[in-house]
Amino acid sequence: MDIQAYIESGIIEAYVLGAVTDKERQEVECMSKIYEEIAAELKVAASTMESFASIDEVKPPAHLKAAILEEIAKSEPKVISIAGNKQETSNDDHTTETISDSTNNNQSWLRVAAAVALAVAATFSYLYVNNNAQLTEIRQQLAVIVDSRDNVSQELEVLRNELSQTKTELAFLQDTATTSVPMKGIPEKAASALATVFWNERSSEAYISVASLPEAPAGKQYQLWAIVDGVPADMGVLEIQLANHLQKVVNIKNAVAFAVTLEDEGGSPTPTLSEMYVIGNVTS
Amino acid sequence: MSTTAQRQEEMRIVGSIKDGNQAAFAELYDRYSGAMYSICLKMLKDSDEAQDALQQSMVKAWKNIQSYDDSKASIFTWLLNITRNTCIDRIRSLNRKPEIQDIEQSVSYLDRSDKATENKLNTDTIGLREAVEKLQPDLRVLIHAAYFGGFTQQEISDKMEIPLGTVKTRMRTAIKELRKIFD
Repeated sequence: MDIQAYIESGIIEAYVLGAVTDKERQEVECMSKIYEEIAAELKVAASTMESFASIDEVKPPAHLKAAILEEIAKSEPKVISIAGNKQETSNDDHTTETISDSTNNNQSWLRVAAAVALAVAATFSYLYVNNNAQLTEIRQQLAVIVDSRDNVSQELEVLRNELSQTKTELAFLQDTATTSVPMKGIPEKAASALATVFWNERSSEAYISVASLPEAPAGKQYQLWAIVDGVPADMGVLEIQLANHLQKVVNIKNAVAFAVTLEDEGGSPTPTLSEMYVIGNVTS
Repeated sequence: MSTTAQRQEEMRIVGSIKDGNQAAFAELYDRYSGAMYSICLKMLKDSDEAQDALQQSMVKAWKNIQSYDDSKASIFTWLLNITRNTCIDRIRSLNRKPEIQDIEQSVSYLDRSDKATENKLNTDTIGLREAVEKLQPDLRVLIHAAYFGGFTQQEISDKMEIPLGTVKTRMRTAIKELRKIFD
């Protein structure tokens, strides 16, 4: 939680100006309970508004005071009181609990005292539990927010890596020393199969892109070969999820042709020529 | 604005009111009714309405005093909030939410009524009042729209066609400027 950023966002000022939604209002009140800095900022801002409200004081008409005092004399304050009022002046009968004075005997005094103590304890424990529950809830919400932020960071990291890889590939493809070698399907095996090797003669780097190859049966895997000086050289097995992606393969020099064969999973030291699916010659 | 002594005095008064003491409530009335009435006038633009609103606010304060929590706000801030909310409810029920440009007029309503009936405005605060008048107009409009007009940040942003972020930062600037005046 960046408290300073929260303070500087202007939300506290909006709060004291009364320009917040209910949700924002609750948020500011919660935050000011948790963070002293926010509470202090809120106090200062509220006091500024008090000063602001005070500069334009207008005395209400005199009769209004009498009318208001008359009205409140008729209505009791809502009491959620924990009792304890020692001297009661007037018609305060049912709403405010009153401790009457010593005309009662000691026992009833004790009962009242015990009731008061119990009420006080209950109120405090209610407030305590309530505050704790709120705090727990806020902590949980915070944990959820932090979690989702972490997820976003991870996703961002993945995207960054993909972007950097794509940039590398693009630079490779745009390099004038890179040639593309289309490998066409062997009619007996898969006439419509197609894959392309991109090979940079200068750096020896190579990538393969598969446009279409029959799905490899279970336990089998495609393997790429280069023909160098009339001998096949292993360039690695193809990964399964390859559609429209470039896969980096083993560096190679002096290749004159590339071919893909179907081999046992993990690849084979020499190609099974009867299982060749595509082949293409390097044309320089 | 409140010193420790003032604060203690306030707490004494509030404590007495919580005990049902009407004389203490009269004291509260004497202290704060002027500021509350001024807000009612500015928000409702009608002195009959404003008087009704003040009465309603005061009675609400009396009835709900037990829910006042001094750890959350001073009693004055609490009363100001009750007053503003009462006026906002009245504006809504009268179905006459003002336009922002009208608020400037409603605030200056007070100055006109001042000339009509003298001695109502507190003369000690003339200097401060003038300083507030000199506040940058775009900041003053924001304060008035929010505080007296009851507009939310979003409403102000929409109506004044200012980005929400700008409304927020201007509110912070506005309160800072006010604070400079009162410090």
